[in-house]
Amino acid sequence: MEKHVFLEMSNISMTFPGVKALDQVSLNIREGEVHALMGENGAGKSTLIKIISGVQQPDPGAKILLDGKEVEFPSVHASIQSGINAIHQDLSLFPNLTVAENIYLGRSKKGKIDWKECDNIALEALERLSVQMDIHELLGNLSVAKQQLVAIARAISLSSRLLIMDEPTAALSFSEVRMLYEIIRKLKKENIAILFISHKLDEVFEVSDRVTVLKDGKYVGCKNIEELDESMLVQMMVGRSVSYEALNQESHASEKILEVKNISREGNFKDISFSLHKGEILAFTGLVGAGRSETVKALFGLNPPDEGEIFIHGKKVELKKVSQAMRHKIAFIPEDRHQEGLILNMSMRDNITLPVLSELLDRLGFTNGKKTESLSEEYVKTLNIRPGQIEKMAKNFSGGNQQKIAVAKWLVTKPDILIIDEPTHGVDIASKTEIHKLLKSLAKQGMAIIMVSSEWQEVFALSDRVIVMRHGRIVHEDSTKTGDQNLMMEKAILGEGKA
Amino acid sequence: MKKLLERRETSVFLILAVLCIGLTIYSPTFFSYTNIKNVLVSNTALGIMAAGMTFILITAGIDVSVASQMMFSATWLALLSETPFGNPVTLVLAAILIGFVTGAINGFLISRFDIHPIIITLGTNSIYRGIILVMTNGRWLMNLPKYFTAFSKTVFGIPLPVVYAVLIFLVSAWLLKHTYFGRSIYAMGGNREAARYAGVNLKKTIFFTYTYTGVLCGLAGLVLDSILGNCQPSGSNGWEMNVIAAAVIGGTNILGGYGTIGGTVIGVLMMGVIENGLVVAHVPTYWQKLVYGLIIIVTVTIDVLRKKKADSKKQMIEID
Repeated sequence: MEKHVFLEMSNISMTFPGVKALDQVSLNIREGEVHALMGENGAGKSTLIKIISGVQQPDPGAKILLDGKEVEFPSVHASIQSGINAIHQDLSLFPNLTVAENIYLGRSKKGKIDWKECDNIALEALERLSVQMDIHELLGNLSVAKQQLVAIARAISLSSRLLIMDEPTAALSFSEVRMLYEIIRKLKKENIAILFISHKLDEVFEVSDRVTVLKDGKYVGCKNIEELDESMLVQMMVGRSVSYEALNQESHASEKILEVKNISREGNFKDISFSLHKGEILAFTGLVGAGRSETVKALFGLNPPDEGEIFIHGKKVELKKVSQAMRHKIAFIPEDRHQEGLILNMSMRDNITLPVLSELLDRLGFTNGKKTESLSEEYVKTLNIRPGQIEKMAKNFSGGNQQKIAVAKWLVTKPDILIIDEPTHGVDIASKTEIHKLLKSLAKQGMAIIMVSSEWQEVFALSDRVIVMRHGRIVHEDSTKTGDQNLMMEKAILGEGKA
Repeated sequence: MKKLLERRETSVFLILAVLCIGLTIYSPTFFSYTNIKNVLVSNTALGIMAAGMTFILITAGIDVSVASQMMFSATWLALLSETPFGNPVTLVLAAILIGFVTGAINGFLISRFDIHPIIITLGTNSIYRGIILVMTNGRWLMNLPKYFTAFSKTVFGIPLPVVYAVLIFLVSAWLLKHTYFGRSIYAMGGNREAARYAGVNLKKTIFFTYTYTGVLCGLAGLVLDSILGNCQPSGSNGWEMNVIAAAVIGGTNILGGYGTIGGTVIGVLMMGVIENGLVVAHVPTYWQKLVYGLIIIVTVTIDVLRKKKADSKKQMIEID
């Protein structure tokens, strides 16, 4: 029997300066269903759940019906009062408060806090998750996975009708993911609806009843899970079927440029060995927290290993400082480009030329405007950065173009080895394809590229070889042309494959 | 027990205790009733303001106008006491009202326009100070009436200003620890966006925090006047730095999220004991500032290093 729809949203639009994040999207939720919200990065999923949970207000004209009555969610509190609460990515908790307070906060609005009630609510919420922990411990002292459980406990205790989760499993280990599925099924029995965002197809097929797909801020469709299979779902999300075309056809017989032998660093990675050839793209993959970023940072002098050896062109090298890594012609583009990669308040020209500024001086030691201009313009052209105005501030470019500026910034150093962490994180589909093309052409020109990626599609479409990490160790290494994707996933998650 | 030892307040308290014992051995006059009373009384106004500063620092804000707010109140109160309307009741009411107004102006400007508090309070610092200088022409207001100085009498051997300060500490600690307002302050300082997502009204919380501090500054003005028996409108210049320092030495995180009234009280005592200790030890007063500076840097550096170590451990990956 079909359960009745209690929340109906239509004509939801959301305009940010210069971007239409949502364009007349609709969504309906039935009582006690598990509803997956899917779409590529930048499709507008997070914006949509921010609207439902009262964090952001949609453009005028939006229509939200709750039990057939027209309502608005002008504040987080209004949503909570309607029995709706969300777990946002990384944003919902207070490291300086206790577990109990984290769960309780947002309930009473004034006056004295009833500590007994606070403890009881926390204990009850954790009980429902069958989790045991010291509720008087400061949240900041817990592991990331435990913090995530606290976030879930908090949201459960606030949501009587609809619980929203933005990528709930991103930071969880395999067994904790299993536990979360159990919790979801339990809540479903209590007739609480769940709306969740996920990028993991298997997850969606395992727990959800219905799927709504968004693409580029537009509504694509809503289907029962039985009507779909994986490739249909991907097609809805991407708008075409994705082919795993291997793009770099050169042989591996080319010159070995980097060799890493048994490097370890306490609490980061253990016993890592691999080699990298000219013109090759090597992918590091695995779950979040497997030690991938920590490992590649070691090659750029940011995370120097305690033991082990690194050879470049057959010569043993020290990489304890960034300046040493740069001298060996290594470049690193971090994942968090806003924080670590770009100076947002500087022009594109200043950003691009920053790493080589000392080489662009004229005889008096001043920066040479002509040189910086021609150099920036050269890279604007090769990378197809739009708009190509080199004086424009970096913050005024779209995510994809900022990404390209970050790439340009390191390409000017003409590196032999390019390390790039999550090359297309937070980038729209069009820019994603362009960045992929760019990396491929760089490899073709002989650059050796190491990339860290969590997206299997990307790993298989782009790289020649893949290294799977888990708990700080390498658990698998294979060619992407002959390798078995399922086996690799299992290794990443379980540490061992069935085969 | 282990948790108690891990707390920042504990280590500062131990340093304070060692300092007191050392000073007592060096010069027995340090531990005399008169000297202890002096140390406590002369730091009450500082302590009362530091309680308010603790609230503000926990929200990740700052208020450099506290000394001006205190003098603003002190000057008006002294002027009031020269008129026929002056009596103990009107003095207390006026102190609260004046502090409320100066604090509320800060709170309104900061929360309404979302401007960094250091800019707003730098501005109001100058304005409040300017108003009283213009009003009095910089004239000292001498010989405050008896009923005014009676506020700082000693009753049964206990100086009243110390009683006021203790009461204010208790109320402040209770507000921080056990009310929705207090917990919102911590939440906001710990993770501003998350606090917003949890339904905390940030603007209101900021407004109340600065207003509460203003009221405490108003009361500090009353206490200061009654202790000194006169009012010097250009006085207590630069006290705001001592107030901030006391809170920070007591473990309040200048970036927000952490701090306690207990810690701040220890910080105030630390500043007071050092000042007094230098006198007792016959160190020229010119050394005072230098020692203050060293103490601030050393205590905070130790804390930051300890935190860094703990954080780097937390980020480690379990390798099996």
